[in-house]
Amino acid sequence: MKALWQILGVWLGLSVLCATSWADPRTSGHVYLSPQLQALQDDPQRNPVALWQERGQGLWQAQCTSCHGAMDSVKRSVASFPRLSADGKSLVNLEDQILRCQQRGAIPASTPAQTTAPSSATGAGALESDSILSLSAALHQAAKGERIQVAPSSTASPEHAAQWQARLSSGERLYQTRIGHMNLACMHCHDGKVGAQMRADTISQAHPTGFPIYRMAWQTLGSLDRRLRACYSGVQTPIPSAGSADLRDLELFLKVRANGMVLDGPSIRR
Amino acid sequence: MAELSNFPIRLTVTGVVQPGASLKAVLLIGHPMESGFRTMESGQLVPKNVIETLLVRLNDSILFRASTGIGISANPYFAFPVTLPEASSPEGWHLSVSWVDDKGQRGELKRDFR
Repeated sequence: MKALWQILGVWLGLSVLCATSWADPRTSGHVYLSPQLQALQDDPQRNPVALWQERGQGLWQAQCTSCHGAMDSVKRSVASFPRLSADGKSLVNLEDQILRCQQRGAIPASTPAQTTAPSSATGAGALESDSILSLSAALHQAAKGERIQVAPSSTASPEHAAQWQARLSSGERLYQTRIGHMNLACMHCHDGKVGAQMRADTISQAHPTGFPIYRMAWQTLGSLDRRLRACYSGVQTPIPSAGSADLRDLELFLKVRANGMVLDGPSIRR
Repeated sequence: MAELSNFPIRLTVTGVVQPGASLKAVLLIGHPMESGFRTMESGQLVPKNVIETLLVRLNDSILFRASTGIGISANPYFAFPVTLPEASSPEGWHLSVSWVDDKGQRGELKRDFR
């Protein structure tokens, strides 16, 4: 009888343990913001991201609907970038995809309004142009609430899938490799020191759920590509050029790491 | 002559619109507001580009005129009260916003509300 109670006790204990581990311990960067910035995020009248969103919606209406239809019809796929291109040579994130559409001539490349600083100031070139960021913001807003679902294409050939896996491993290696004068890897802060203060900022879990972001330090909207380059600057190491393969590998790893998490839509960050 | 740009302007008016009412207006202007002190990666200065005057009118009367400069952040945000006159206006009310920057670019927006 005693043995039976012991078994029951162990079983109860285990089930409580399981129940707590079922709750997803991963959190969006939103929870690490100050209350003031969270309030700015939640106030549609004040949130500066709306400036890009509205223009992005206008651009979509004017230039994209003839091929892609309503924005709602593509929101599912917004959550599935970056993808490996058909030839298996490059990883394509959403901004790359919009740029490719522009270069194919589907969208006029330059719009006269430029609310961001000249792209020469950020070193990003066309990838951080206003039209691309606006479309990205509008698409991510439409995809708000979708779950990140990044995986190799189900119809892909084994070579293609292997290539995808190789890029993912490369991203994971980058995430774990110490670099720069600070001699830090991503994981030392974003896995090991989550919630701690780094200068005036709180270290997040680095889940890319809220991009593109309006970062206060930039005073403008920026992509995940730009945010990752800022991290390279933070650990004091040469900064890769915008759109480089390393940044895409890292983005792929971060997205896979965040698979199943809900997209927040374009967000405010410090 | 100032050139009309298509920088975005967002204007939100909240409150009950009736003669004598106090409303709250929130204005957000998309503009880089480059102070002229930042440097590019090349080491050169980013050219200064800031809004210098902002004019807000309620129908035909000037509500306020603001002289803005390098101390204002990018994508400037203004919140201000709007008090409607006691006399009702037959054609309704509108706020018009116009700004001019140091490059001679300008932006305009007219918003009807009732």
